Amino acid sequence: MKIIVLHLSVTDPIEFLDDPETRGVAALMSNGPHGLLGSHECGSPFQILRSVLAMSDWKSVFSALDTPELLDHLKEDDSLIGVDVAQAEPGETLEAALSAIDGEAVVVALSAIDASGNRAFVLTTTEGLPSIRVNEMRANDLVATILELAGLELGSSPALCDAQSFVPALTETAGAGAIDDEELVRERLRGLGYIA
Amino acid sequence: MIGLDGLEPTIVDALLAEGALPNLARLRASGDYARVGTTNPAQTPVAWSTFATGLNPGGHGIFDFIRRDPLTYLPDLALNRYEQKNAFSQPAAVNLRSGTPVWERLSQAGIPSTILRCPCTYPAAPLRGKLLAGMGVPDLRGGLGTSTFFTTQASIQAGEAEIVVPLKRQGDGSVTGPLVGPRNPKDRTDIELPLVIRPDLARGCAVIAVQGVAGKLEVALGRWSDWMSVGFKLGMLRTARGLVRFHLVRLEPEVELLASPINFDPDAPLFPISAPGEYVRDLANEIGVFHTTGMVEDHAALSNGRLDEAGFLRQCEDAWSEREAMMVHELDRLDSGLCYCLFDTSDRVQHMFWRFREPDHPANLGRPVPTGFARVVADQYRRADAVVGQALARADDKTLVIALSDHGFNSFRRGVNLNTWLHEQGLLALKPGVEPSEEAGDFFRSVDWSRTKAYALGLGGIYLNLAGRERDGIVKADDAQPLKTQIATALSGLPDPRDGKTAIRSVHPREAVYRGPRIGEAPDLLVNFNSGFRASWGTSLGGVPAGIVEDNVKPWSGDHIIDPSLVPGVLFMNRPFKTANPRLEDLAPTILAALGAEVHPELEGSPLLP
Repeated sequence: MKIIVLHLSVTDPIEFLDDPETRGVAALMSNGPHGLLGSHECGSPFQILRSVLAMSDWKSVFSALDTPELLDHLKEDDSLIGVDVAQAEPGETLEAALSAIDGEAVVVALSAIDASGNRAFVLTTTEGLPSIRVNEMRANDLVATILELAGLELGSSPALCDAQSFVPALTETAGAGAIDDEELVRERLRGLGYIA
Repeated sequence: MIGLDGLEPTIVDALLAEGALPNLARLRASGDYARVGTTNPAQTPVAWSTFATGLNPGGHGIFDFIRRDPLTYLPDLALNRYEQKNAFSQPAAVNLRSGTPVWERLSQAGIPSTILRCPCTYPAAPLRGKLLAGMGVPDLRGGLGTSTFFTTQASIQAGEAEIVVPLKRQGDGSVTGPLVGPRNPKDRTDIELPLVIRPDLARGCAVIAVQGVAGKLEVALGRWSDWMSVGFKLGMLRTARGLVRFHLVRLEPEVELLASPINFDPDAPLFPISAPGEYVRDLANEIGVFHTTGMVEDHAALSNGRLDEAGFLRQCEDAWSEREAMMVHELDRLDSGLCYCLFDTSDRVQHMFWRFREPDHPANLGRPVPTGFARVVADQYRRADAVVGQALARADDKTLVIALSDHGFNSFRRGVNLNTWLHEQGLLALKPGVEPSEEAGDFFRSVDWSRTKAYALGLGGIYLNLAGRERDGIVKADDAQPLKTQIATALSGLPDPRDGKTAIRSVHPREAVYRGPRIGEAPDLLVNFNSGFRASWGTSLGGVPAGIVEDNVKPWSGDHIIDPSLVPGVLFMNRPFKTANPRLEDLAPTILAALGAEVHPELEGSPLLP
């Protein structure tokens, strides 16, 4: 399992989410929740994650990486990788990262911030998440959600404060479209031959 | 250790007497041969789990192909399941067989094993050695084998375990339709790849191209193609890779093509099908690509009339050949330790070709019975014998060679509708206005649980609708034992209303058959059918059809899920062994003792070698 957090500096978080020209971001948004992120005294998602995972045995890499360095880490590390994307074209980094992780279990989060500290986020996993606009999430809620999606215990890190994972809400949203269990069971069993 | 699934002792004896099984005769001459007691029920995953663990089903927890959830009454596969930490995490496959398999005990003793295709080994667990998982490995859609039938003919309905895709004729002479892959994990819709077929009438073949796949496949009429590697995008971050092959059924007047279930690609299986993980890829590189699904032979395509008998047998020969190649490859590399390889094509062929041994079998009514197929079952035994010959050729005088079948075989002529019988006894109630019939549906759709005391599911199990256990249970704990006695007494000796033949020999409470920590998951009562009978097709998934006993008219005309004493397996070894009543439970202790490992007291059998 990897957690990949890309930290971007943008001019305007709203434009970042709505700009169809930002390569990869629109595709990511169609595979997961996204929206503006409420501020939180515990810091940015990047900082909170770093703080929470510093107390665990979870190997993590937080640094400013160019694309080739990022790809090296994606190949070699089974861990959390947080990256400050300093490039002018963040979509390029994102695209390279996504193509390098095909099939692996990952949680991907984008955190975009402008000069005034306003933030947007996009979140997805290998299995995909409901594509919904969420504007009430705070930075620590996003981290709690990331940790739960990665199957990690939330623990009692003070950095998480009163964080609330959004996984239950996402589960409720996804459940609305579930198909008939009987159909799946029938297909699963019929290849046996012994049954009707 | 050569597993020969479903070899029936009476057929083995007859062929031995004819001299048709020279290698098994060699084994017998250098050691011994005996019938071996199988499990109750006599089912492949149950029996091979007992072989592997040395435990009865109460110990390893595999009681049937099918289990039920008492909180929903829904059936599901009993061999494995998938778990997710949350709705969005990748599912993990979980093997539902418990107990310690013999290769794990050998690993603990520092002795390596190579285990090829043993049932109930999916997902593959680490061991000292190598393991390729067998029955239980799904196809890319998660089932045990869903093939796709492509046809230009309109209004063809899907049969058993298949998808039917209508083909469209294009102006350039090609025909097109989607190749159906796995379900989208987000919305469960089918993920498809456009497929183009270019028929070549003059050459009697067709060329198949699939979007996103480099290269094309040519397939001749009536033949199977090579494998095609395909990738289905499960989402922006994930691709499921699979292998598919095609059988060209017809070119005119209609174009008809059968696509195999999409197998996991050995290069990138979605779930662990080998240990170590790269073993399946390495093996495929060394011996060529092979089927990875747990059940290779497409019996449903034969039942549905998509494949004819010859096409089915060609696929069966492919299965034999690839399994033989695996075994030979590994035996050639074996220095010491356990090598196990299961050949299960013999089981599938007997299921589908038993009717040719019995001209008056109900499955023959209204169906052609070509005379050439009467020898097919015996041919499988000869094929099994040839495999034993390959192993013997690689065994030195220090090598213990074992050939074992997990159960025998029998005819399946009549099916018993256990739920209908329970209904007739007043123990299973249907909703107002519903009578036993096809309309009652399966999955207990029409059952009124508030008035139901017992129900049947699977291939011979009856459950009480127990208060506190079942969601809508009404049978109080104090009433359970008398009710079980009542059902067992009434059902034992049940005659076939048509001719008075005994359909059910006996019915036993689970406590009389099993012991161990998993006994609570077993059916409350186990039904032992007589020769020629079995649980009906409708019973297996909770149906309540009309009539207590019905003809089995399906090509699946042989079976073995009857009174286990009627379908023992066979056991050959190249060393003399204790031939008095050996059981499958004895094999694990025998292997451990032969290799000098501890025979743990938990094991229920005893070493067979003196």
